[in-house]
This record gives sequence, structure tokens and C-alpha cells, in this order.
Amino acid sequence: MNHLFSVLVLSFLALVAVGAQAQTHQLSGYIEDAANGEMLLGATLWCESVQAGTGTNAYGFYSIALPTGTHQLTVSYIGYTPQTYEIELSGDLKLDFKLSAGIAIDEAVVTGEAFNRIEDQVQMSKMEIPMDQVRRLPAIGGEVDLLKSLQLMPGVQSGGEGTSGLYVRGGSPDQNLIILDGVPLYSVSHLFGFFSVFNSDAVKQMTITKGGFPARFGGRLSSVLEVNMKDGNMKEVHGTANVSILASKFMVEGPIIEDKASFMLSGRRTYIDLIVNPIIASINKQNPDITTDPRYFFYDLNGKVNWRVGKRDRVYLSFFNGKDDFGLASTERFGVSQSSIDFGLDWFNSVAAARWNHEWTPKLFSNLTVTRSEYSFNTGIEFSVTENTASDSTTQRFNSLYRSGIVDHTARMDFNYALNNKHYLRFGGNLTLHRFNPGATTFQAEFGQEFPGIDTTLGAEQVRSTERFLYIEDEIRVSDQFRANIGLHGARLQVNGTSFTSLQPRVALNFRLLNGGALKVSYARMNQFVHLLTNEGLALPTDLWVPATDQVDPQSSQQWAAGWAKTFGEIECSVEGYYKFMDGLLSYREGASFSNTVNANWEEQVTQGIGTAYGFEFLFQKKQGRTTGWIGYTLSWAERQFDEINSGNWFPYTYDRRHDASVVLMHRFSDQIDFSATWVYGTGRALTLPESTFRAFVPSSFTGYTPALNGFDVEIPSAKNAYRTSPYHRADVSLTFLKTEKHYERSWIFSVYNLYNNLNPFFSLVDVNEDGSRTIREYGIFPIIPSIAWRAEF
Amino acid sequence: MKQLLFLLSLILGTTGCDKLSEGVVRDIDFPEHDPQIAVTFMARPIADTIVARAHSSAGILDSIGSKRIKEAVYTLENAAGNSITWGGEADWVQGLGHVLTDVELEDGNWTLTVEAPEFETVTAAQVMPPRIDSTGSYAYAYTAIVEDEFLEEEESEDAYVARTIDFTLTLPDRSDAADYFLVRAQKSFNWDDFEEEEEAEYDGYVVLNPRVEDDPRIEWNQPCRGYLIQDIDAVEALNSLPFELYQEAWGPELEVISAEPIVLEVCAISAEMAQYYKRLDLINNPSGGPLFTEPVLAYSNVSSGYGCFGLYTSSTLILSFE
Repeated sequence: MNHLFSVLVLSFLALVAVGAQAQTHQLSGYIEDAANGEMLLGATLWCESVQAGTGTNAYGFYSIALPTGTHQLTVSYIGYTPQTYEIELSGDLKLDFKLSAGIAIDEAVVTGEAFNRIEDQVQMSKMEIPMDQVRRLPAIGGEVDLLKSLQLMPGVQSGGEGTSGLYVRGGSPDQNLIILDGVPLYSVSHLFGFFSVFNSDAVKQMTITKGGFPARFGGRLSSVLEVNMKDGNMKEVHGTANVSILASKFMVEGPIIEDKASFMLSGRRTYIDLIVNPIIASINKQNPDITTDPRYFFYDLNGKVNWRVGKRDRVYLSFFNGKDDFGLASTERFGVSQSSIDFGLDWFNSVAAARWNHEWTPKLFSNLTVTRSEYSFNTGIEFSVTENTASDSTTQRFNSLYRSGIVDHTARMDFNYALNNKHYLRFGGNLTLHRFNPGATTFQAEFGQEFPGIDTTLGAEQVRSTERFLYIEDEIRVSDQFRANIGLHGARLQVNGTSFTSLQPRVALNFRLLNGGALKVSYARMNQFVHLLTNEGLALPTDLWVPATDQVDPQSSQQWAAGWAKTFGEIECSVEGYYKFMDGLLSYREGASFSNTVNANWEEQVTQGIGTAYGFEFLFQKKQGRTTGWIGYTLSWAERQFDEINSGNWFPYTYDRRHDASVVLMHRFSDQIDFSATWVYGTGRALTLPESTFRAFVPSSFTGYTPALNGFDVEIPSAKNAYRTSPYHRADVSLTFLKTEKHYERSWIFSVYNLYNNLNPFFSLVDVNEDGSRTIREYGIFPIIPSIAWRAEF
Repeated sequence: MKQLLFLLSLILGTTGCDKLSEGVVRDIDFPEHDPQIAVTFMARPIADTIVARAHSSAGILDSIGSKRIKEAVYTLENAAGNSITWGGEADWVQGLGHVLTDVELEDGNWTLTVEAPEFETVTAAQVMPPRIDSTGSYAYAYTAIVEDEFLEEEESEDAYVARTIDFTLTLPDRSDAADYFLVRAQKSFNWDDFEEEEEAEYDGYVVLNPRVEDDPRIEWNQPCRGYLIQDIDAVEALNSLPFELYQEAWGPELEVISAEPIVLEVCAISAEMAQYYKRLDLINNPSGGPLFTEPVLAYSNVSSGYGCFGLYTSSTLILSFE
């Protein structure tokens, strides 16, 4: 690790030495929303006279080196009116720009030589859906979901009907680094995966990177999803309220001190329990001896405080809490006795972050992030039997409680250094202390007064590990036609007296073509020190986060990608091909499941293997104007091989999807009526089905005279993932009516999920029919579902 | 416009609810199954009779299921060319299968061939494991100490005995080969025995349990109702395996039941046999239920077929009580 550090430091010093020779002035500052002071991330600044540009970083900060003289600057951002400024530069200058949102509907965007066209970006395999578009997409139950909107992009697939899991370029869901305001989240699902934890009203921006990862990212193999919460309105108090058939949510933001400090608070809660409970209560009245009491709710709460401490310093404090609680209790009375069973399942996410931005010089910007992240999953069951007599009452009780989870404490420092117009450096480091609880079960039992009780805990012990990384990357403008981002990410994990070190080179190249398009190629080596132990059949919160240990290797990958990108008028087109090789993939052994980990060491239940994923992605996207949307198509293959699974033979990954297509259309008829529609198609999911049976026998005795054979039927599954479900396809539409009232703007949102009522398979079973014949059936869960939601903005 | 939207919502809502109440289901076409021979033949070197079974495999949608093949003919041949042939209708014993009598198998390699009309002929090969016994070059050893004993005799009821025994077993462990064993109580506990209507005059059961939880060498196997034991890495890895034996017996005479011996079967089995039984157990007893357990492929050492041809040697270990 010391050697790695030396390499990184020397690289940095060499670049600084080169940059010190240049004679220019530095123009730096922030680009923000004129109406609310919200920082604009990824906004661009283009200088016509020197044919150079730059973009704002994750905190809205930009820095560009320009020669002495008069310069014409164009500042632009998606969904905002571009502004052109003329400045006289004779020394370093700090200048903040303010952009106004809302381009007139018919107005074409003045991109000119804007810097943020897809062909200008060195970074490839990166996609962004503007939040304005996310909120307009049709949504199941009227509940807009960020992750489901991402599933409409090429290379990003869903796990199944209604679920919000992301499967990126043949990777597993645990291979996505999901960062909320700089803090990695481990579980991002509500309602068993049907919704993500992100409240769309609280989110300012989200971007997903599927390949060509810059060196500042690490720790996951397949994607980086950055979600940034709103900073809070610096000017005046605003908010939103949203009521749908599944949940209600609110967001309120405003200044604490105008233009100095602001806050944002948002919350969401489902009321499925409030709807279902009265129905259950009326059913219970029909038979007072049997009562059933189901419960389910989820909530999430986001908060953020943004404080501009001085001209060079900003501080952000943010938190996120989210919980799902599911349970089912049943009581049955018979005579003087009563038996009851109570089953519960809950999972909880808690994140807190403090960030400090400091502008050391016009060229050097830093961000220090200190975070705490906790994910816990608990499930328990209690049985009890009570017998009452005239003089006495005896209760026998048994309960078990299973707990697992992970707690991270992280400190991270990032620097942005605008060395000159040819080199933009990013470097920094990260230290994370992980505390894994891979599962422990407490058993308690009472057998009445005459017998001793049980109180014992079984399962894996806590595992503590230390993960650190250093990185340096340089965005290099070699010439007007050739730009590159070259970096190195070095990571190290220490766990149980063992350490793993990895050096991960990253390269992204952009060649501008004479016709205005660009050819891009990238290579990234990634390493991942955590695994998600999951059964591939259904995504459940019982999925277990476990670390790499002395017995379980980390995951690693190498991804090569090449692509072409060009903007035709308002339409961005891109075609990318990729090949990814993954090593150290983790899976349960054949016959193992979550329940094995409850009482036994999880390391003995797993096996490791390799995987490949390759394919082509096509995207045609229109982000602005009256009509917006995109068409995406992916042709891909994803296969895996484990020595101890499927007899060591390669098999298709569960989410290997040969064809995946999506069409998204949004049209604003007027200021009052907005329409959106989506259509998706995907090749059926790979699955293993029971294929045949035979009668097996075991001798009743292995010694003695004439041992008989005890026979039983054995179901033989097919080769791993040898079958496919039917293809998935679905259309959704949404129609929104907006009206401006005196103090607020309200919307009625009518949407229809699965418009043409297609049966999309969720799971498959072998059913025995009444006549004894057998049939394999696919079961869907969501037919056509109309819904209505109400939204207000003030 | 509002009326139109209301009407549209009503139609869509009704359609959706109707579909939901029906259940959203679609039948899947499934390829036709090509039946293959599924063989079970587990043989030891010397036995009065050994039973072989051949069944046809069946497709998962076949409601009749796996059927016995009475016409199956088995040929067992060793490396020296000596062979035994049996099977067909003549050797079929109802309730048992194809019975081979007066078995005497030599050490070494054996190949089983099973032929049946309309089926592809299948073969399987095995090596006879070393002959296990309480003495000799491939011997086990044990110690047994009665830890606890409870005797009860009442005039109106059966006498009753319960014993707990500290049992330590050492199994042979070759340095140049992997060793696999099956150890089971001959009269193991089985709920089905208690559900039978007629109760025997004298009865009881024995439970064998390892004293160390999650010992990777020892694995319970439900189909065999015993423990599969395997040497792992180290030489003499199977020294002093700690077990607990629990015996219950009841009957009219205390003297008789208190002298009831515990009989254990100690078998040296082939690797293929161990693998076959492990897989059968995983398939039949999914740890997380059928939906949440990683599917298990059936193991077979039968070419182009299912089942297992296994060779084992066995010894009876008797713990007597005076």
C-alpha cells in the first residue's frame, strides 16, 4: 500500500510541475439556479474564444484557465435557459453564474458549441434522466420510482415484474454502488423490492455509470448510481405534497438564513396497513375464536441542511432513514386454551453525512465527507400456548429472532485541481470501517414452571474490516480531437488478519470525428470487497451482506467498452459495445439457502465462480422540447461458471436477457396537460425447472439378511437456468392535468400500468391438476392497474 | 372530459380487478421427456441376497411417474472377466425387486451393465472399498461409556429403559485415498414406526448424534437415516469422533429391555455412493423450501441414465449391556 501511495503522489507532483509552467488566469465559481440558489451539477461553461469548456463538479463548482483578454462565455444546463456573458479577464476571477429554469416549450436549446453534448464527454456509459422527466413517467399506483425509471435505459434491467432492483450489464444487484449524497446504501428497496427508498420529490439529480468508471469510483463492479438530494431553497419556502393510492409524501424546503443557509425535509409513508386493517377486523368478527392481524408499512425520511459558511466554504448535513415492517399475528382460542403465532420481518436503513467543501485556491477545490451508514434486517417468530384453569395459568412459549446487518463509518477526502485547460485532476482517499453482522439467531423458550427454559444465541460472529482506497485521475485534453481520462485506483481491505490489495487502472479515450461525432473506448478494472448472498429466485430482504474474508475472495472485474456518440439536432445517439469478465462471484452452494445461514457459518454455504457479460446498447434520447423521451435497445449475453454448481458447466445468468427494449414518450400538450407513455420488452428470465423424476432407493439396512429397498420419488431439475419465462412486455400511460391555484399548483395524475393487460411472469410452479395431471404454470401478479394521484406544489 | 376520464377509469379498474380475481396464470409448453433407466444397486462383498431396482425416469408432467422395469437384466463384471447376470421376470420378487442371491464379490473394479427393451443400455463402474471391521488393516475402534441410565418398572405398565452413552469412534483414514463412511443406528428413531397400528411387545429406538455442531466431517443424511462421514485433508482426521448415543426401550420385562443391545452399522462406502446420497438428501429436503433453495442436480454414476451403482463394505458394531 505504501508503494501504491508513493506512485500516486509522484504522479500528482509530476503533473503539478508541468502545470506550473503555464501562464493563465483562473476563472472559478459556482453555477446555481437563479430562483432557489440550488447548485447545478454538471452545468457547463464554454469559452468561444479559446474553444475550451468545463463543467461543474458534484457541488456546482467550476474552474477554468483562460488567457488575459475579453472572453464570451456560454453557461448552460439541461432544462435551463442558456446565458451568454462577456468578461474581461486580467487576473484570477471568482464569478458565480445563475441560470433560470424553464425553457419555453417550443424553444430549441441553444447548444452551439456547448460542452455537455454526449460526444464531448470523455466519460462513456454514463446516463442521466432529468428529474423533471422522472416525475412525469407513468408509475404503478401513482408512486414514481427513480430506480424503475433507470430500468428503462439500455444496459439496465429490472429483476422482474414490479421490482426496483438494478441488473447492469450482466451484473448482480450488489455490484451497483448506490450513493446518496456521497454515502453508499446497502438496501434500496421498500415493499419487498417493489419500490426504491428514494423519494423523487427530494432528489435533485441522478446519474448512472455502467462502465468506463473514473478512478474516483470504486468498491463495486457493475455500476455507480449517484443520487443527490436537493440542497434546499435559499430564497423562499416551497414544498410539494403528493397523495397516491399506495403512499403519501411531502417535501418542504426553504431558507434558514436567506442566501446563506437552507433546509430540505421530505417524508413518505405507505398506508397499506390503514386500508387493510379494517377489512381484516371485519373478517375477524365472523369467527371470534380466530383472529388474524397482518401489518405492513414503510416510511422514509430525508433531511438536509446546507450552509454557506463563507465565500470559500460550504457545509452540508444530511440524513436518511427508511424502514419496512411486515408482520402476521394469529390467535386461536379453543376452550380454556389459546395458541398464538406471531411472525415479523423488518429492515431498516439509516444514513447520516456531514460534508465540508473548501475552495483552497481558484484551482483547488476539496470536499471532506464523514458518514455513518447502517442497514439491519431482523426476522422473528414466536409461538405460544396458554392453558387456563380455574386456579392457574400455564404458558409455553418459543421464540427465535434472527438479526443481521452492516454498519459503516467512513471518512473521505476528494480534491479537484484544475491544473490548466489540458489537465483536470481529481485525487483523494477514503477510509471505511465496516462492521458486518452476517446473522445471529437468539432462541428463547419457556416450557412452564416444571421445566427449565432455553435462552441461547447461535450463528456467525461479527466481522470487522477496514477498507481504504486512494485514487488519482486526470482528464486530459490532448488536442481538440482527442481527450482522455486516465486514472489509478488502489484499494486495500483488512479483515480477520488477512488483507487484499488491488490496483485498478482506468482509461477512457474520446476521439472526435470529422463529422462531429465521437468514438469512445474505455477500460476499467474494478474490485469489490463485499458480497450479497442471495437466492436468485426471489429478491428478499433476507439477502445477506457479507465481507470478503480469509475464506471468501473479493469480487473483481475487467470491462472493455467501445462506442460511438453524436448529437443530431436535439437527439443524442449512442451505440456502445462492452465485454466484462468477473471473478470471485459468490453464490449459495446447490441446496443451500438463507435458512442455512441462520444456524451455521455462512462461509460454508457458499461457492465462488466467474462470469462474463457482453453486448451492444443503442440509445436515442431527446431531453428537451415539447416532446421528449428515448428509445433504448440492448442485445446482451451474461453467463456464469461455478465449479460446484451445474456440474461445473457454464450457465446463463438468471438475468441474462438477449433483447431488452424500451420506448419512452413524453409530450406536453399545453401548460395544463401532460402525457407520457412507456413500452418495454425483455427476453424471458432464465430459470431452472424440475424436468423429470425417477424412483430412488435406499437399503433399509446395510448389513444383515435381505435388506429391503425403501423407495421414494426424486425430482430432477433441469440444467441451471436451462429454461426461460415468457418474454416480458408492458405498456404504461399517464395523463397529468395541471392547474395553477392562488397559492399553489395542483396536478391530477391518471395512470394505467400494464395498459393491454399482458400476463408478465413473476414465478413458475409445477401444479397438480384435479385429474392428477401436472402442468407447469407461470404466475403473474400485476394485471392492468389504473391509479390516480394528486400532487400539489407551493 | 372529466366524465370521459371517470368512465375510462371505471372500465380499466373493473377489467383489472376481474383479471386479478381470476389469478394471472399461463400454462407453459414443456418438451417431451425421453425416458432413461434409473438404477439402484448397492452391493457389499458377501451377502445372502442383494436387491437391484431399475425404473424408467419420467417427465415432470407425467402423472404416472417413474415405472419399474421388470424386464431389466443386470450384468456385473469384474476386471478379470468374471461376471454375474440376473434380472428379468424370473428374478423379480414382488415388493423387493430383482434379487441376486449368494453374493460373493471380490475386491477390485466392477462394472454393472443394465439392459432393458426400449431403453438405452446403461453402465456404471465401481471399486470395492477396503473391508471394514473391528480388526484388520482397515479397522475402526470405539469407546462407549454409559453416562446416564434410567430404569422404570411398574406393575400396571411396560418397563422402560433410557440410556445416554458417550460414544467415541475412530475410523480408518488412508493417507493415499479419500475415505467415506456411513454410520447409522440399526433401530433408529422414526415417527412412521409410531404411526403403525400394531405395536410390538418389545420396542425401542436409538438416536446417534455428534457432540460437535457443524463438524464438516460429519453430515446427517435423511434418506440413509445415518451420518455420512468423510476424511478431510489431514491424516488421521477421523480419530476420536465424539458422538452421543441415546437409547430408549420398553416392554413387559425389565430384564429383557435393559439388556437390549445397541446395534450400529459401520460402512465404508465409495465416493460415488456418498455423493449420490448427499444429493438425494439435498433434493428431498430443501433447506429453504422449494422456492428459496438453490436447485440441486441429481448425481449419478450411471452413464446415460439415473441412479447409482454403489459398492460398500460393512460391519455390525454391537454395544451389549449386562
